Amino acid sequence: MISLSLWNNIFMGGTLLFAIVMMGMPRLPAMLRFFALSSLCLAGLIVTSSLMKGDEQPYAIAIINIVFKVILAPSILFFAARKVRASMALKFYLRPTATYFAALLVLLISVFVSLRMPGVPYLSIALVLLGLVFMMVRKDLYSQIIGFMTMENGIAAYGVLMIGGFPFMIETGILFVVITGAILMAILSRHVQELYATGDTESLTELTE
Amino acid sequence: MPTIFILFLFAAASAYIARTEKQIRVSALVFAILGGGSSLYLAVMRLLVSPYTPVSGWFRADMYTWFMIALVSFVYITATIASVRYTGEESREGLLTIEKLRVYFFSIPLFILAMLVSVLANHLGLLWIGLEGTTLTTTLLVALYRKDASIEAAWKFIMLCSIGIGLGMIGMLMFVHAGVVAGLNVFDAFSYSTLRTSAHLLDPASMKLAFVFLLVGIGTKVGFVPMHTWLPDAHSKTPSPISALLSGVLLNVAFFVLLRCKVLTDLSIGSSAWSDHLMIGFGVLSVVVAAFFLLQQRNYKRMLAYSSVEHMGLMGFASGLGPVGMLALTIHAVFHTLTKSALFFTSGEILLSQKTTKIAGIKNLMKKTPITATLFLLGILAIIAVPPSGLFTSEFMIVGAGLQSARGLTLVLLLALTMIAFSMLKSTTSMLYTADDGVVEHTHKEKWTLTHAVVIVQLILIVVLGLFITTAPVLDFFKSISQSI
Repeated sequence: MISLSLWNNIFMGGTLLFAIVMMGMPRLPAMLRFFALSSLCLAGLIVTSSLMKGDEQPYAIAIINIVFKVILAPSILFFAARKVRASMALKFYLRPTATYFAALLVLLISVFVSLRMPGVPYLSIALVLLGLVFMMVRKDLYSQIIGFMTMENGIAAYGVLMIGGFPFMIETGILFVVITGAILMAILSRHVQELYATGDTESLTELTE
Repeated sequence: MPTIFILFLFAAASAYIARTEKQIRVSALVFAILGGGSSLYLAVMRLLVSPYTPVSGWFRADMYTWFMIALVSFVYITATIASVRYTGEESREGLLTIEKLRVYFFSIPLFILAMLVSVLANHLGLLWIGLEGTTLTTTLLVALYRKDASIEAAWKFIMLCSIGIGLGMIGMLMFVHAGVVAGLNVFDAFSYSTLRTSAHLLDPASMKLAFVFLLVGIGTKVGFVPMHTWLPDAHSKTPSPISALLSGVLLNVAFFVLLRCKVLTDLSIGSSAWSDHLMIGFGVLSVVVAAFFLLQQRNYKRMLAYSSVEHMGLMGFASGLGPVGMLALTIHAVFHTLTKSALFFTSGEILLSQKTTKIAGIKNLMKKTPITATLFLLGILAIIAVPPSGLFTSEFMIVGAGLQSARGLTLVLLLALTMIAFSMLKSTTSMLYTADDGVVEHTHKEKWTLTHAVVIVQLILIVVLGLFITTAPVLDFFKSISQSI
């Protein structure tokens, strides 16, 4: 019988592992799939952490997390890309191998930071930094959105691990705001695709001093 | 307030219920006067008659909150009036379709609502939702024209502000965690008021770390250098009345949230010296960098946007100078809001008549459109703090207090302010008085517009308030507001 604590660790590991694997994915569907898996593990983490803290009803928050982050966000991005016939091959500054090396460095830095700052959990720092690095090493707009949402997963992980989660109304509000942001970003990326016939951020260079 | 919030929702819905362009504009105006007028009346009454401070788990309203509500409501009304004129003209020229007009008047009341939630929020989660809401409701406004530059500006805006507010969220959660560690239950730890009353129990090291996240995160929304890069793009690419809202009130709202976090950090540390240094540093950097960008500015809307970076820097500097600085920044907030929004309204009139935002593309404006040109000149004089603009009083106080506590940096600030005044005057005179290369025939006289009326009212307020600001009762009034935060 696997204990609750072990499940908790498995979900923590899964959230991080899938986020790392996602970073090297060269195609949009694969990237979205690994983001969804990482978010699913985060939902599992919410359940196990809440049960370990004695909450009897942690499922509602986990379910809305799954609806918003595992189902809605990846679907919206995928269909937005398909609607404008965007290329499913993503563009990057760093090749997947080099990206994984960068992810490894991020993990090491996260260990260092969490040791220096005991109030900040390792998983949370790692996800926020991975999200930021992902946005830096990728050129395409969809990766930017997923990088931002990975950061948001890091913030949610902080809430779960350090404070025991958010009140239900606030969690719903935050997820609603995050999904609205993702929809707006998808709309903008569609416009960029239509205007420039590419989803490459390097095409956005008109506004300079 | 809940009734007023519902009015804002109705205002947003009316943009899609109305059938014709005229109906959309009229309903937006009616709801702005109703909703904005009610919240303005309520805020002024609270400030003047009964400084009552209701506190609940979700909302909190001290005098500073009512002061911010008054500013937001006032600019909401004036921006909607200016929007009626501006969008009417752009619709006639075929730049705005009815669908875009619906998006425009749907987004404005939601944007105002998000700002009101941000200033009223006592629950830190609600505060975050309000702040992120201000970004989401304005993104489509920045991208309204669907041109390459506006899409690029909107993309930078939503990405940078969302990441910034995300980092701010980490800071807020660190506050909450410090509260939980200090023995508060989770709901109380999310309450700003409770954290404030228990500030002495919170771990100073955690609070310092949290404030760094908040300063970088919310500082992005404020427009502090080096996180300001979204600001000139977004403010210059939106329709001018929206730029007025962004520059005039949104930056102030974000600054107000940052100030609240600073106060909480100071209370837990037991001294304001640590956060004062950070605010002074970011403030001076913002003013100096803005000065250099203004020196070579070629676009008058970007010029106004960089001027906003400068003024947020000045307010940041002031917030690190103790009670005198706080008083100065409160006065500065009022006059910056009035002046900058008036300038953006006027810049909209210039854009409508001259069809360009390039400084070099505009010549002899004083002859072509004398009313607009005169109002623009008066606005520029007010924003560079020429008396009787109240900005002169606030900047005089900031420099006076700065020379006592940070002499070297204050001298750098003065030098930068001089550069800014010179640059803005040079660009303005070039637009207003440079003779045209060719012969221009004046076929029609400039017509008086609604926007002119709005700008004149604001300029009168700037002068009258500027003259009375140093009198004892008015100064005491502002002092009590600045001390209430």
